[in-house]
Amino acid sequence: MFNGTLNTLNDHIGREPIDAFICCASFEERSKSIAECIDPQIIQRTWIAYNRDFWTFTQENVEAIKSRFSEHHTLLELDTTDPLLTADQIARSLADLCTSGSSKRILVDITSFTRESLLILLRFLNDRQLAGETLEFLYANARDYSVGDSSEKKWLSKGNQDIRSVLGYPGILVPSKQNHLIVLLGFEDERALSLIRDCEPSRISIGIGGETEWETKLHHETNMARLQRLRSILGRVEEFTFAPYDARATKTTIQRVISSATDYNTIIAPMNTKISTLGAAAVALDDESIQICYARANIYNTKGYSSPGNLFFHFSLAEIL
Amino acid sequence: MASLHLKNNPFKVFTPEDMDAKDAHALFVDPFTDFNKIREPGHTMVNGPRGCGKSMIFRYLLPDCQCLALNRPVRELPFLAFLISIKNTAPNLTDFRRLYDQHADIILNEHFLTLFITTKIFQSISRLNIPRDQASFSDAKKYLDTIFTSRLEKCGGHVDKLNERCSVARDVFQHITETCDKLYGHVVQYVRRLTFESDKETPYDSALCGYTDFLFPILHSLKDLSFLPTGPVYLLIDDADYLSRPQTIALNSWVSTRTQSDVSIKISTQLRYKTFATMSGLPIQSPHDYQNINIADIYTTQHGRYLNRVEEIVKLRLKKAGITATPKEFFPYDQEQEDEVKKIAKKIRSEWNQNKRGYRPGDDALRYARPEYIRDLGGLSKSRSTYSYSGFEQLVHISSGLVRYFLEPAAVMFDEQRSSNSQSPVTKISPRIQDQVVRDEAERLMTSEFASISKQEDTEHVPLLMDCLFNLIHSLGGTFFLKLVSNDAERRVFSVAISGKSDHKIDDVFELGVRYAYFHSSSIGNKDGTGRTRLYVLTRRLAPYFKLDPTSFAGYLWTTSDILHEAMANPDTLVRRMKRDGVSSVLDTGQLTLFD
Repeated sequence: MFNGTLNTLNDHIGREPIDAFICCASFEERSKSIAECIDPQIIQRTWIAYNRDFWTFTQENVEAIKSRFSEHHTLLELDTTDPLLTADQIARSLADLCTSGSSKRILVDITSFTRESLLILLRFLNDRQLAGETLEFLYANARDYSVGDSSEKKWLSKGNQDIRSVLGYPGILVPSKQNHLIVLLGFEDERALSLIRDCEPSRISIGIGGETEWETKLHHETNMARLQRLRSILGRVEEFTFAPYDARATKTTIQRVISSATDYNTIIAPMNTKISTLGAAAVALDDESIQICYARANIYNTKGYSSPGNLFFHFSLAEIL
Repeated sequence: MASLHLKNNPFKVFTPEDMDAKDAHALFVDPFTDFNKIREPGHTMVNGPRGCGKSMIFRYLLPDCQCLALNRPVRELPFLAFLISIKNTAPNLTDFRRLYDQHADIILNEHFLTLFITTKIFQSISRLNIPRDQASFSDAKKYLDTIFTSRLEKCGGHVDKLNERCSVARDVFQHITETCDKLYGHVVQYVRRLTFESDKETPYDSALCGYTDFLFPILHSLKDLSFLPTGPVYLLIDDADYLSRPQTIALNSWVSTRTQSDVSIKISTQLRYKTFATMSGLPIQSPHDYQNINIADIYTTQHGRYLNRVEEIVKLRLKKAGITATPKEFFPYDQEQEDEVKKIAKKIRSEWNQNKRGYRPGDDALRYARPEYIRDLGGLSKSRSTYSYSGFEQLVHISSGLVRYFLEPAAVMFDEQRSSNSQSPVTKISPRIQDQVVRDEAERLMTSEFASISKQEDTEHVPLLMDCLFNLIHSLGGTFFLKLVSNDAERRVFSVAISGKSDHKIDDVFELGVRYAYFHSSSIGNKDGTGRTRLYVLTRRLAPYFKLDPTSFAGYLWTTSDILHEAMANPDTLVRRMKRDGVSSVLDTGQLTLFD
C-alpha cells in the first residue's frame, strides 16, 4: 500500500540528511513527481540519470530536475540499447559514493528507470554496499496509464527489440536442467508472448496483479482477458497472483512459485511495476542461480504513457532482502 | 518429458524437446522425402522461419523416436543424435559481452559452448535405455577413466572420483553431466565478476575445452561403447541464431573441420544466423563445408504437398484428442458462401463459349468464380469484409506454408468454440469463429506484430528499411486487391518478380520481409529466358487484411525496381495511380503459372 500523498513526502522521509539522491528523467511527466516534491536542502548530492537514446523525449524533464537541484547534481548518461555502457556509467559515476565516507543514506527514485537499468543500478549498489549504509527507494504512482485509451486498448510499449539476460543477473542455468520462466505480466501480453516464444521454457508461470490488490483491481478484467489469450496459445501455464506495489510480498510470492519447481533453472521476467521488479531482483540477489531476463521494448507510448498521480511508496532494501 | 494433453485443445503448440517420444512419434509427419540431407551424415544448415517444423524434425531424429520409428534398440540405430537447443538466455549471456574484443573472447566462448553441449550430450546418454549390467558399467567406467577424464585433464579440468555406490552405466554418465555442469557454473561465476568495468582485470584460471582437443575426441570414442551405435554422432544445434557472435564463430570453425563422417553438425536457424566467419577468418560455404536447406522454400512453393502435410498433422492431433471428425469436417466452410461461389462458377461454365479466356470451362470457373464473388460483395454492399475466411483448405492457404501459423490460430479458435459451446464438446469450429480469428491475426500482423519487429536489429538503417517494408506490403496488398477485382485475365496474384535489375535497397527490404515471414522467396526464369530471378510471395496470412482470395497461388506480376522504389516510398500514390489507370498499365505484367 502507498505511504502517503506527495505533499507529505518530506514529513515521511524525515529530516535526516540524504547523502545521495538518484533519480531518472524519462519522457513521463511522472519522472519529476518525486524530484519536485523532495526538499533539496536535505540532499547532499543528486544524480540525474537519463537515457541518451531517448534524449529528444527526455531533455525537458532533465532540465527541469537539474534546475531543482542547482549545482549539486551530476548527470548520469545511460543507454537502453547498451547495458554495458549503462553499467560502466553507473560504476564510474557512483564510484566515489561507494568508496568515501562512512555510513550513508542513499535514496533512489525508481519511478522512471527502465527495468534493466534499475536492476543494474541495484546490483552495483548491492555489491558495494558499505557497512551501515541505507538504501531506500521511492516510487511515484501514475493516475492513469495509456492515457485516453479504453481499458482493453491500453498499451505502454510494443514489441521486443531483443531479449537478453540482465547484466549482473546471469543466473547459473545448468545445461542439464530444463528452464522455468516466471513472468510478472503487466499490460503487454504481446511482448510477454514474444518473450515466452523466444525463451521456449519447459515450464511457464505467469503472474498477474491480484484482484484485491490496490489499483490492479481496476485492470483485473483486462488482465484476465490477456491471460486467457496466452493460455489459448501456450497451453500448459501455471498462474499466480502477486502484489505489484509490494516488493517484499512479490519476492515471497516468486519464491513460493520457484519452490514448486525446484528441479528447474529459474528465469524471471519482470514486466510489471518497478516495485515488483525490485521484488524479483531481491529473489535473484538471494539466490545467484536465478537469472533475470529483460525484453527491450521496440516503441514506448511516449505521448500517453502515464499521467502523474499524487501518491508515493517508500521502502528500504533491507525490507526486501 | 511429459505426455501431451491434447484433449484440452488439440492445436496447442508444444516445444518439441519437451515432448515424450511416443507423442513426438505419433504426431510426426515424415517429411524425409524432402529432407534426406538432414538424416544423412554431413554438416547441414536447416533454415526457416519460426514455426516451420525445424525443431520437430530434430526431435524426431533423437534416439528414443528413432527406436520407435525403426523398431530397433539404440545400439542398432544408424546414427546417434543429440539435441542442443539454444535459447536467448543461455549460453548467450549479456555478461559475456564484457569479453568482446578481448584476446580470450572466442576461446572462452568456445569453452562455454563446448561445456553447454557436452552437458546436454551426457545428460541425453544417461537417459537412454542402457542395460543395467556389469559389462555396460565397466564399459562406461573405462570411457570415463581413459577418455573423458584424460581429455578434460589435458584441458586443465578435473573430474571428481566416481562415487563408490555407482553401479550402473547411467550413474557414470550422470557423473560426467554433473562435472560439466560444475565447470559451466565456474565460467558463469567468472563472467559475473566482470559485470562492472573496474573488475575487468580478473584473470580466468580454470579449464579451457575446445572442439578438436576435447569435444570431438570424446564424441568419436562413444562408438566404442557396446550399448551405443557405431554410426556417426549428430549434433543438432537448434535455433543457432541465438548464439552470440563469438560462439557462432566457434561453431562455424567446428563445421569447417570436416569431421562429418564421425560427427555431423546440423544447425537450424531462423534466417538470422549472425555470421559464417570462422576463427581462421575464412567463412564456411555451402556446399563446400555444409549442405544448405531452406525449409520454407520447399513447402511454400509446392502447395499440394503442404496441404497434405497439414491435413496429416491435423488428423493425428484430432485423433489424439479423441475427435473423430476429419480436418475438413472439423473446419467447415461457410456453406452459403460456397453455394454462391458455385453458382458463379456454373454461370461461367455455361457462358464459356461466349466469354472464354482459358482452354477449358473448368479453368475459367476456378480462376474467376471466387474473385467475382469477392468483387460482387464490394459492388453491391461495400462490405467485402463479409467474405468468410473459413474452411480447412482456406485456413491451410492462409497459414502460408508454416504449420505453426495453422496451429496457433486453430488453438485460439478451439478455445473460442469451447466457450461458445458452453457444456457440449467441440466437434467442429463454426465458420464465424474461424473467420474472426484469422481476421484478428491478420490485423495483429500488420499492427502490433509489425511494430514488435520493426526495430529488432541494432543497426541504424534497419528501422528505415522496416518503414520501406511496411509501405511495400501496403502497396503490394493494395495492388493484388485491385488485380483481384479487375477484369484482367489473371486476377489471383500474391507474388511479384523483378524484371531488369534490382538494387541493394530493394534486396535488403525483401530480405527483411522474408526473415520475418511477411514474404517468402523463390526463383523463376527471367523474362529473357537467360537465367533466373527472385520471386517474392506475400504471406497469405495477410489475405483478410487486404481482402484477398487466399487460394490465389496461380499468378505473379512482373515489376521494375522503379515501381518498387515508389511502392516503398509512396504506397498511397502508387495504389491510387493503379486504381485510376489499371494495374496492368502501371506494372509490367506476366501471366505464367507459378507452379507449372
